[in-house]
Amino acid sequence: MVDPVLTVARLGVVLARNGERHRVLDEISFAVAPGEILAVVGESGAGKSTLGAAIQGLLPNDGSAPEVSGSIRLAGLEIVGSPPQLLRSARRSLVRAVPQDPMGALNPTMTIRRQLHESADGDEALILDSLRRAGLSDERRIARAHPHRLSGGERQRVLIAMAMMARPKLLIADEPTTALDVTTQAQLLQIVRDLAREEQTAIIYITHDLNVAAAVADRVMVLFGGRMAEIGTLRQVARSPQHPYSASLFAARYDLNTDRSRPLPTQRAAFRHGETSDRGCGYVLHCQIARTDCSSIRPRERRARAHSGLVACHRSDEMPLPTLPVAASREAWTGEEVTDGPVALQLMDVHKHFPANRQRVWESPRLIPALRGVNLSISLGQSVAVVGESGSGKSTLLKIAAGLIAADSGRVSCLDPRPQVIFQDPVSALTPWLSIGDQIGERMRPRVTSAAERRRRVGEALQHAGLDPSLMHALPSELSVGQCQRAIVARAVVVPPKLLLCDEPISAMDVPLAAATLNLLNDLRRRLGLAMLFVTHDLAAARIVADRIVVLNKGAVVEEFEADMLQSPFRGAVTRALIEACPSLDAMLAR
Amino acid sequence: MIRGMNGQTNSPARLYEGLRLIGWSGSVGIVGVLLITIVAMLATRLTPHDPYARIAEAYLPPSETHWFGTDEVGRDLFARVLVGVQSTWLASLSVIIFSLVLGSLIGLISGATGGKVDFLVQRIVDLFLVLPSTMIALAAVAVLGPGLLNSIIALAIFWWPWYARVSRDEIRRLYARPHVEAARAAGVPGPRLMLRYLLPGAVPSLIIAATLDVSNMIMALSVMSFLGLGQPAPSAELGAMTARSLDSLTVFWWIPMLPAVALFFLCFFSNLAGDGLRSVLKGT
Repeated sequence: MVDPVLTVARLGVVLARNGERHRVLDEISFAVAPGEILAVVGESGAGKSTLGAAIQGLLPNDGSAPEVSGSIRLAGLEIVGSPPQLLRSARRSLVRAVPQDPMGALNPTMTIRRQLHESADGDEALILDSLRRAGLSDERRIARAHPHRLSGGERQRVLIAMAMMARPKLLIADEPTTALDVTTQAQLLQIVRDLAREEQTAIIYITHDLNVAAAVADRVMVLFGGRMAEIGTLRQVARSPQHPYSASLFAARYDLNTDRSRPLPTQRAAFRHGETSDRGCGYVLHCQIARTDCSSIRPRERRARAHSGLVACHRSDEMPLPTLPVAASREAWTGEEVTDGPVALQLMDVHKHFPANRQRVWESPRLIPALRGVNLSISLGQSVAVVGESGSGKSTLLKIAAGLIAADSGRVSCLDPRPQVIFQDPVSALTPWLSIGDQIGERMRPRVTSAAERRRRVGEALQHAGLDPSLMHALPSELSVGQCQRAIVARAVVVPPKLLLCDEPISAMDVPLAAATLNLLNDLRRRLGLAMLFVTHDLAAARIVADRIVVLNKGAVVEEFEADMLQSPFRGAVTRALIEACPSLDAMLAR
Repeated sequence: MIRGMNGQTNSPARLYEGLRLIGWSGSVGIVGVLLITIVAMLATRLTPHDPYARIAEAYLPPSETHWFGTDEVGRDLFARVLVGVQSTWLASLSVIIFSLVLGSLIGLISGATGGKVDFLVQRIVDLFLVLPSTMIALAAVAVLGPGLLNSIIALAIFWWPWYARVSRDEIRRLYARPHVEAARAAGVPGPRLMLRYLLPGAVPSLIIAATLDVSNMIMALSVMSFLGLGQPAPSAELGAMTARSLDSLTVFWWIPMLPAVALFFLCFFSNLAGDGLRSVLKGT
């Protein structure tokens, strides 16, 4: 076996957050060989990004210095405890990173060419060649451009080109495709795979999406609460997970073949610091096969029985789990599908243009069509998903339906004068200085004047959304992201609207949280008989949440079909391309 | 509200975090500002001497009985500096608070209404901002006649537009945020939206702007009295005291110097306090 590029041994990181010290990583050990892609998976807060930062010697230092123990050897160089100059040169030549937010990582005042030049020594030919190999076919235009002229996918490819130009031994990709649509994501994953194969670069691919991990990685490492739960080849771990947490993580994912007639399996595990003692297993509170010694003796990593990797669990011999780790009831959804109710939203021949950026001050702005003659109608009790690549006009469609912007022409009629919107980022959709209860109660204000009655109904709505009613007195900052999303759903349904509009509500969430949110929306819209419009680029989510799927391309509806008919052989080219771009773990296992 | 901005709840760790953010310089500033305010309130009771009466020989250097010495007429300089601190500090605070309240409200209405109202209000604000406010205030005082009240009025008239601009920009920024969009979608009526969803978000920036502005205001007031447009001669005013005795700087240094030093500390502490508050409110 070739020498590993990276060897991490018993890595521990303690970071200070808000004046409290937390052990973010705890005795992590693993190695990555040249040309190998290791996926690091786990829910938000598991320590995935901290691991990436530690390997680059870039741990955040706000106020008090991070405590790092153990060792990180990168191509023979010890990272832990190295002086800053050495780390800087290591970052220049040995390890490069591709971050999640490509706009924030590019300098808006410099052209792409200058930034590439700055980042690695190389002449014009090398710069153009790197851009081309990162999948940018018109490399000359890209090189001349400033970052704001490029699309999100182009920016992310520029960052990959920038990282690969330095021919690093190790590339750390931290959720690089989370902000991109599936088509772009599929192309980027292909590029990442090619780079690993052709350049023998070792790649650590951090993601919360197991389907993405399956599409790109050779091996997978599962983190929970800063500790390694399991590591092994992806195929083996996915087939027979040996840690109860990995098992529930793999069971909670959904893809194009998931049963949509019942709620998705979810798991409640969400790690909180200080919840368990350092001595026992971190997963003990959520584990269904835990015994008393699990909370007192910390499980060490050992050879897994069913695969060639390592697992840190006392009870891994008892795997697979006797029952699926399911928190929600798995009864099939009840309630008839409504097909001929009153029409809640109708769009007829809706057009919308936006002025494009002017290239020159004296030019009159060109108009770019966002929607070109869209027809759409949703009956009460029906759920319709609008899918499409970014730039297909789906967000514009939602904003017009919500009445937040006006259409240029066409007719928009909505049964509800005030349709409710669920936004993509739940945290920024809550006012930070008002309590949850105040914000939810706001929607009843004109009708329900008694404060006690309002409080009672807010409590009810919170319960509907799966939250403790006592949270009505909390401020948004005291809630987790998942709780914020539930609070927003509670606000939307406290006075049941006729029409509920969802704008990519799950695209930034990890899988367990996304599954829980989809279940919640599915449950509420059935229980309250709402019409729902769900905008997403994720076909798998669209299929689960909607009765009917509308495919939008370049501002026009290209196809409209029942969700169950998604995989029918009669689908058009645009839909087929979207389906093919969807990464799927099951498809990988079937190959 | 401040608690909410930083996601902080009442617990010792959060309190510690708050103090850490203020930093030692901010703490010194805030303590200094509090001390100055107390001194300004008590002024005449802190010294046995009458600031306006001739109580000793002129030009006595600082001593145990007269801590700051006596001035060219024989009045106790310490008593006069205290009264000067009182009038300067309270005057500048009142102008700042008046401008802050008026400017915030105008900015709030302008930013939240948008459209033509916003355009019109902001052009009026522009008109005020392009004029050199201290100079115009000087001219106004010249017309109104010298005096503390007149300088306060003149400065207040020309000071609020800046706050209106800060407030309006913050409100516009907040207005585009999803949580305000959500409140609008929830049907929150206009005035309620402004006061509960928009204004609290602009308050931190406005408070910071105001604390850093106190020293500008102190300087503007002192310039007025330095030029003889503040309170008339017998009254104790720090800028005027420095101005009148500036030519005796080399001989009787304490007469112009000590009021100037008092002025310096007023500005210094309020700037430190403003910096500290900015760290807490902006969380940096």
